[in-house]
Amino acid sequence: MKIGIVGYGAYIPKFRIKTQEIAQFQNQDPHKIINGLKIEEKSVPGIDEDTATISHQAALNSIARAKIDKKKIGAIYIGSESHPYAVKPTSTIVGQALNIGNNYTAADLEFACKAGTAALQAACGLTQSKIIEYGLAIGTDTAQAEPGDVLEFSASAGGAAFLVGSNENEFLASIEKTLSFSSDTPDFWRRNLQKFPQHMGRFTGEPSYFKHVIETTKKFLDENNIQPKDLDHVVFHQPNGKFPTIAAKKLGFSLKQIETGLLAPKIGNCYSGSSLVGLTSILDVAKPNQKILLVSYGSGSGCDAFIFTTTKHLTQKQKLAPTTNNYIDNKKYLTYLQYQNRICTK
Amino acid sequence: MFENNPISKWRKYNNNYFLQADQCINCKKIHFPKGYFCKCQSKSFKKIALSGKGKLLTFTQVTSAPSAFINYSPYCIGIIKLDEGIKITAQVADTNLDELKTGTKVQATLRKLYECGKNGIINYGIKFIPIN
Amino acid sequence: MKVAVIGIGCTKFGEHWDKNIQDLLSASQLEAIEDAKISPNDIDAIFSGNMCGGIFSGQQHIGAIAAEILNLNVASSVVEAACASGGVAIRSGLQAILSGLAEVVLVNGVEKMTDTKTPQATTGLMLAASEELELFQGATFPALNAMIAKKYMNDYGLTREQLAMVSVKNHKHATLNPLAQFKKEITIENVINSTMVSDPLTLLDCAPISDGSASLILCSEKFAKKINKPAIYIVGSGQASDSLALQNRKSLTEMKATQIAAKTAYKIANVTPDDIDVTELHDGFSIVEILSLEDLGYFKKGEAGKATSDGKTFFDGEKPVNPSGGLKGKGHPVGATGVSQAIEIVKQLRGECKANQVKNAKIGLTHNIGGCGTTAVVHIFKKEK
Repeated sequence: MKIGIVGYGAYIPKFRIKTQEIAQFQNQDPHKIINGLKIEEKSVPGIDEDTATISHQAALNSIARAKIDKKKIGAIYIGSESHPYAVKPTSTIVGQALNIGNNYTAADLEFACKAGTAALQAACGLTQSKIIEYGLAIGTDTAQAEPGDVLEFSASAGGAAFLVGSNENEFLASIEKTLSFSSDTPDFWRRNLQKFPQHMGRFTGEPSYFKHVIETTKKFLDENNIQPKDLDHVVFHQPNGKFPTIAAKKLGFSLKQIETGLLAPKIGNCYSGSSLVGLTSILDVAKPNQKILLVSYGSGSGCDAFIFTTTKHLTQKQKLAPTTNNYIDNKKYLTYLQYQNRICTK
Repeated sequence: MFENNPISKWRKYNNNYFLQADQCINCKKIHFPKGYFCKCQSKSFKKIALSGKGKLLTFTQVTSAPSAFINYSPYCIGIIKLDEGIKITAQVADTNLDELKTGTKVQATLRKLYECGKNGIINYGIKFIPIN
Repeated sequence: MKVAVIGIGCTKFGEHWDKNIQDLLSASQLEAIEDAKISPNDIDAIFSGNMCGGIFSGQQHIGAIAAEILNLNVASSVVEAACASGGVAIRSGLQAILSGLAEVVLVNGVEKMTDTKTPQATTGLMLAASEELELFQGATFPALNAMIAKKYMNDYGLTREQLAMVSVKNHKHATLNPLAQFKKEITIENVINSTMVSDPLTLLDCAPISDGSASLILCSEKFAKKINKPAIYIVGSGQASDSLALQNRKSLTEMKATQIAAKTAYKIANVTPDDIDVTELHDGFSIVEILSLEDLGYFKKGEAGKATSDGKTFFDGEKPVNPSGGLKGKGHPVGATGVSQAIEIVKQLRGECKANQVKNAKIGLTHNIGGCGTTAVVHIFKKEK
């Protein structure tokens, strides 16, 4: 497969709220929550930020690293559960704001937390078949959770953008293989016109996240004759800080392999951006010729698995835009009331 | 009301979404956001992109906002002198008043300005964030 | 230039819950006609300054209302230049008389602003600013003026106390003006501690929202002599404009439009700034009085703050400014302001003021601006011997 990432970028909003702050308002023991979810704090979008603005900034960062003529971008796909409009594509708002001209196809995707990786596969398809020269795939969310619900501790905001191309000389990481697994699973959903999602509690674990992630990963590694130890970095979808760790253990990965991409403890779960910002944080520090495994998970349910191999071009591109950690470390804490003010539409 | 006028905003998407200006082909003077008639009498301009970087010339905080902006207030607003020499009026986001001073370096970014109610269009535009 | 002012009429400025545009207009028009001791049929043309009739009352085309109230079929139109509508209406009246097209002109200024709530009023007033560069970005007039204040304080060392003194003075004057909206004296502490609107400007740095109407009867010198009426004469007029958006000014701390309008008026009237005995200038925000004192040539750049806190601009000081209370103390029904400034000057020159009479006032000046100094109009009045 001659397809690769030629540019990447993340964006995480500046604001944070600590788990203990939310726990106080939910009348829960903060230590129990932090230990249970392994999330210390999560990112909160500014009142003037949404999936379009976050995607735009991530895309700017990816173009800054790619150093390509942005007018050659032939597709924009944005995956999210929080598109600003039910009808009117986020992708064209971002396309207009990027000033890439009009010669591109665009669509918004939804598949819970794996919409971003689905966007990546779609962009790869068009690019590798040379229908377009470059594709821009973005996964972003300003995730929603009902006040008082356990999801309130994890639903956060962030996004990552990837430019894919088919010219090997431009690859920062080649996309070796991809594999997906899809099923109809009622673990987590949101009906039309409803503000907050519903979820089935413990059912979201074993039969949902773990079954899909573990089966997909096993099949992927088997089919491609890869052993867990062959991988330098591994990133799973991270609904909290705990699930990826359990999955890693079950699959025979070490904590060291997942630690670079495990951001949930510091920023929570930014849904469609979750596994992808994990990927950008890996790309920020990866050395040439390293193998990265990414397995996303979206409720409903499905997984997209990818193997990337970094190239020698990656090193000089890492610092051309703010790194994922730059955004993680640039933070301002909110009180619970300030947090509610920002996320509840009046 | 004049707030809910997506057509007038669409007409200016390029000016609202990213910083560009008209440069007089004759004397190179920069007109922002649009050039009609230069002091040198020329009517010909070409579009140039602006870097989005600048410094705060002066600033304040809006506490009594126009009706469209009530949900976003209070917010900081300033007149920014861009590196290219042009001045622009824009909000300064992600910040409190006491974190700003004259001369603070800022960078343009795309943010929501306001929505036209629950059903209307969302207006995006340029705000600035302080950079270290 | 010599155009006579033979009649004045003005409502109280404030919250007239029971009155609409027609009610306000008829009160000041009829009072001016009576003061002039003319018949309404003597009027050849009417000019009415108004900015927000459309947005606050759903009513534009106010010229028609002005004429209909007096049962006249004369030429009657509205003049709009944001907060300078009244001043520019006066200038339109002057032009009609000086061109010979009219002998007697009724000039009105009227505004009805209190039928709405603060956010809508704030939005409506931003019609005077740049929609695309300022309102769209969330700017308000308090914010724009606050940014001017901050820059001026930065560049010239104006202190918060000096700035507050403008409002203290104008409130003091307002207590001496029976038509004024505010009747209470305030202190510098009151100003500094009042509700913050846009840092550093507080509520007491900002002119209020008001209703009101003001009217003048202007006529040619020939007509004034014919009816043997002692008149005050308009002997100088200047109007100028500058960029709509504040960001496009060369300097944020001076108003070129004021400077040009004043220079023109001084030239026509053949006077200097030092000759002006009494002034009504446009203190929409306290900082604008500071800038205008310098732009009108009364004080050197950077010195208006000290001059104010030294008391020089009190009505009994060496350079009386805003003896009526100004926009801050008297009230600011936008379209009416420019005309009400002229009325105060005419009263001062006639010697008709009571508690706030400036002694020996012979030459007066009005200064009326629209937006943040986008439009400026200056008139000079002289008492004939």
